[in-house]
Amino acid sequence: MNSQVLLSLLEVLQMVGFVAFVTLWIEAYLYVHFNFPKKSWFLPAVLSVVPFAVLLLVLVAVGPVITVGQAVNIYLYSLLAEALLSSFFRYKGDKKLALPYMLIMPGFVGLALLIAYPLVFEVYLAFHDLKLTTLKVWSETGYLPFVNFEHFYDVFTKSPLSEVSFWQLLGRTLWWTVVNVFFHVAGGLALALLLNNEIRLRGLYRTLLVIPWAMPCVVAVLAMRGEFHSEYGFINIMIGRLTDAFPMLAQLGMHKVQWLSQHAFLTCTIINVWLGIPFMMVVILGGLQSIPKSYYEAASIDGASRFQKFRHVTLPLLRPVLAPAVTLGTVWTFNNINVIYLVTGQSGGTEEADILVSALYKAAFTFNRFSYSAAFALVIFVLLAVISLMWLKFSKGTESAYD
Amino acid sequence: MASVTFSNVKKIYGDNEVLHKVNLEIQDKEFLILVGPSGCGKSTLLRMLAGLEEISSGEIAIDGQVVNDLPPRDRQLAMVFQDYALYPHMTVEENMSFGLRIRKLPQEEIDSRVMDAANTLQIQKFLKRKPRQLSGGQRQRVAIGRAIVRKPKVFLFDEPLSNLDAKLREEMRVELAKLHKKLGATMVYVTHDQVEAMTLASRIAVMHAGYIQQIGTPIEVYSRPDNIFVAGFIGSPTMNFMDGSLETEGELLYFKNEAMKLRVPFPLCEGAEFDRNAVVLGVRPEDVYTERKLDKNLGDMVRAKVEVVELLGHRKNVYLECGKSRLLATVPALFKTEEAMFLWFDMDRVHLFDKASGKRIC
Repeated sequence: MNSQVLLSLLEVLQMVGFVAFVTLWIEAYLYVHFNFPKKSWFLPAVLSVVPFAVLLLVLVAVGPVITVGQAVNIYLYSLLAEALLSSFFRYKGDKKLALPYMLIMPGFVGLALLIAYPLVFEVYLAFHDLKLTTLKVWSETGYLPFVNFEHFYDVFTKSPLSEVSFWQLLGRTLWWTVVNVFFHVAGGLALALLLNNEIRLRGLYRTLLVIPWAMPCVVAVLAMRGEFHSEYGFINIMIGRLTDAFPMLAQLGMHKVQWLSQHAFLTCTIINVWLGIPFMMVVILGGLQSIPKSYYEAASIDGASRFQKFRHVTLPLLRPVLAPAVTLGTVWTFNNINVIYLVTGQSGGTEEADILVSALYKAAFTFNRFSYSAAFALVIFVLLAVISLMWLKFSKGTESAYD
Repeated sequence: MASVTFSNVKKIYGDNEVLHKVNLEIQDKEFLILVGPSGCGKSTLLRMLAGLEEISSGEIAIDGQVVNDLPPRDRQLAMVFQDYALYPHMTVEENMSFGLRIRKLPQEEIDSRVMDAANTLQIQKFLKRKPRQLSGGQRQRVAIGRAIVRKPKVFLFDEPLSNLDAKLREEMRVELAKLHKKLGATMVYVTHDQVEAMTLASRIAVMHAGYIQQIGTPIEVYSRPDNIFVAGFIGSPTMNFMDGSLETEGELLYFKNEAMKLRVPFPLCEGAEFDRNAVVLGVRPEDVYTERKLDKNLGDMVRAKVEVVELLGHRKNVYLECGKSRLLATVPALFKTEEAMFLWFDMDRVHLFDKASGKRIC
């Protein structure tokens, strides 16, 4: 066994140790969240880190002992360690909670591996400088220069790609989200209302309509992209046939267009609307079917017309399913990289259709600006969190209509 | 207010005829109760009147106007549902005024009607609450209030009390009786509970298997049931039935089986068709006596064996074995029961039915 093997074993152990650490940290967070603020020692514990922070500041100020980056690191890790230790002692004392914590541990390990570790690493990256020129040094020595908030500053002032600015991307993303979610809900609601009637072959229609959602997104998007091809795509061929058959249409201005290069945003929107409708349809159909028939009967007897029943019974009672579905849909659409990247991401692809996340992906993996992308991703995360929270509060989405 | 007429009304689901040529007249200001076991078609009949179910054939008329093709909103009815069907997202006030707002009545009119109904039902305090904040009985009142404010021609009730607990049900029964008196409205009420039917109804229509078995005032239905089904369904505890045959000895008619021989002191119906060898004698538990009473027309003595005795407090239920049949007698609580007893039936109040057709023959 040579030293190389030992080294890699050590790395694996380090990784496992880190995961365990983060797991415990999340548990500690939960414990803090639910219990700590009520405890008498909570305030002293919080205050105790203040002198420590002051000490670190002094060390930084006095001279070349530690750098700012190291000080911040030490401070953050010591905060974590404190939360961990104190929660450990609390939870040792409370035997009742030991079993529940052990039982949810596997779930936490999964969370830690898939979410917490990348997130922590991302935060680390965002404050350091990893790019093509520093990659080699980093992989050999593990050293990355600390750059403070520089990347966050760049996000708002420099183009993430080659032309579009952050603000253009943000505006386009919001527009993209609004248009898509609107058509998802409108289309889903219309189809759900149709499918909620007693019609023949209802199961067949439902299955057919769910297919875009059921098949792998990449396959669906690539297939649709083919249909928008300027020469061989179904859409342009149909336009050609129609204008041949009815020259009047051509006079009215109907002609073949370069969908993928000149109307990329429109193309992406059409594809994504088509992809997103089935989910909303299924959710709304579920909501419709959970509304008891007797409400409609009572409304009939009260004298409501079909539209009035829809307006006064169906819509208010759909709210509890619509609000979370719209929130989810908003997040998914806001974060939808698949459609845009798959349609416009090839070499020579346009930036006309890019939204924040697709620009983020291109910045990271086409332009290799890793640390910049990490900072960019954090900005997007905060934006999305704020939007979602505001929407949930505004729509009362977590309230039930029934009880 | 209004009368309602059902003529030859049928309901057919696919190949399954669930209502067979129902004929029923409901008079103005009448409290008519449709009673029967579940699946007898009573709710379907009510829902056809409301316009929630199609009428397969026949006619339903309100105040002489055929309403077969009128949508529910044009029939001027109000309905109280078993599960109340209060709109969960509206307050009590909004629930009650919904039908009026849909019909675009002036706001003052709506307010005054809602207040009137709320006063009648004593739900003023809850007007701003949502249905989920109310108890079952309060929801029930709101559902009734929603019907009252509409000032409908006919009130329809579909098992309105069956979701309430026993004590509340009794209270609401009294309230409903008061309400009918106060409003003087035509009411059609569906229930499977014969106690509700007996206590509330002006007239009862007993339904079974898609047929109306008997229509009459509660006392008529109770004291002269048309057939075995009605006899067994109405009244609690249930009527006792004994199989036997009719025999004539000289001038006198006797009911006979392995355990008894009773002289029948009343004439049989003229023209009644039945098999003399298979008849059923029905007698209600309260008409079974364990000692001679001079003021009653008691029949011949019957010997029976006591199986179980249940003490109810004011009365005792005595379960008896008499030949092949089992009998229930309700006797005063202080009565001393023995292993074997002698019984007498009140012959003014026994019923004879043909066993095959179930029809009354006396």
